[in-house]
Amino acid sequence: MLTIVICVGSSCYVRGSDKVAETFERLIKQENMSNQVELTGAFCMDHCSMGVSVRLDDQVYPEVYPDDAESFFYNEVVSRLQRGV
Amino acid sequence: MRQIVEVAWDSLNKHGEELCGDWVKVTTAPNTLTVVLSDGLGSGVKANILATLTAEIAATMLERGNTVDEVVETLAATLPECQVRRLTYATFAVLQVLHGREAYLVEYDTPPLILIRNNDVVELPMTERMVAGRAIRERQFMLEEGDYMVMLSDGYIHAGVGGLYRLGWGWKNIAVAARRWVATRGDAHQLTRALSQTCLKLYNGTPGDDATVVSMWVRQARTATIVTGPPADPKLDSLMVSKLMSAEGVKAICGGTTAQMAARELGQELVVEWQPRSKSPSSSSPSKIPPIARLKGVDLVTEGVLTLSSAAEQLRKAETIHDLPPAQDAGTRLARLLLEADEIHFIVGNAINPHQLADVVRGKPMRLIYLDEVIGQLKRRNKLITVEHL
Repeated sequence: MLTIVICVGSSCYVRGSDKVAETFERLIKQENMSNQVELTGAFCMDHCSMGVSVRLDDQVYPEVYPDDAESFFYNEVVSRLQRGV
Repeated sequence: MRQIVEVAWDSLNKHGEELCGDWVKVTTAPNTLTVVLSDGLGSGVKANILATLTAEIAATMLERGNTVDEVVETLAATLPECQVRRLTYATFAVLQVLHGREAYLVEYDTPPLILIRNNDVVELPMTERMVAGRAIRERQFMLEEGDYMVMLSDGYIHAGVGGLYRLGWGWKNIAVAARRWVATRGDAHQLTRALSQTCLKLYNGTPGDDATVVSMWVRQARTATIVTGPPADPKLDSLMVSKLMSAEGVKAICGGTTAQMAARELGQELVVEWQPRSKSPSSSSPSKIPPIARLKGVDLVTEGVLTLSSAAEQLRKAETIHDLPPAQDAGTRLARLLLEADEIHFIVGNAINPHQLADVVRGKPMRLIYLDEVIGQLKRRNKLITVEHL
């Protein structure tokens, strides 16, 4: 099980963490991955001056923007699962 | 626990008048509550000025420790004389309450105070004496938890005159109505609203006189402590958290970083109650503010600047807790918590969040600007606010 944590602190929320979450949610459904991926929220990850912060297990990606959410999902989330990490 | 008197009031203007000739002034100090209701002679501007002056002078002087005799003498000497009636005239009722218990009531030509205790209207025999040529009635008495009091201007007594009630609603009928209503154990705001709506109905929507009601309810004080922002010096983190946790009453944290700091200090897990949109109940109307979080021992945990701004907006629109929407978002919940409390202590951390823009003109972080607005809104409602910076 891979856990995706999206920051919903002030800064990330303003930058569209909601939209990022929505995209992830849609893609998880579309790719039938709901038994492999868990989506949840957290407050500040200390990278407020960048983009929306997303944490995959222990690694923080501080610059995910709503527009890149889809490519991030395929490049990072899906490939991580395929690598079996 | 401390006992306090919750106060709410409402005035109906005489039909066609823009200004009310009744005036209510409520002041709260840590141990003293002063409520003054004044009814100026006539209606409109003149009555409004007389009533305002009377209530403000009385409240200010009493707050400074002057006696009622001095207040009455001052009023007699300073109020302008009515050109038409050659009278200097505004009635007043003053109720001073010490420590939420010891009450001192003074009335000058106003309908008597209605006191309801254990579902009964209690008679309050008054002592009459002359001060500066005027007959005032006074009385000292003790308040008990659960007591309700109603102060009225004579517009209430005359409501419905010639209509539903030939001689007007009348003190006795109003006391009975209040007693029946009070059996529902509602708060002062609800009692005020109920009486005010009945009065307006009796006047058929067009009051023949200014009509004012002040409702009071004696109950235990509700306290709340709010922490927002981490301290400027991280060494004070544990102090801030222990201050919050040892506080009486409801506890809240406004700020994501602050919440994480508190969770770390407490060794507890901070769980953000974030739900994917498809599962959240209000999926049709996306919330404009971040979700709340759960932290053991703290009643409400929210994000900071956006939630405070939303709470400030709610407080601009809703006068009492009954005006708030039933929503469960962080901003509404914070506003509800604040409106429910009588005594609110804010512990404000002075750490600067380098990632957030300060308001350049006011030289302050936006979080504190919204906090100032929230505090102003709460003070306007006579809540006792204390602020501590760390």
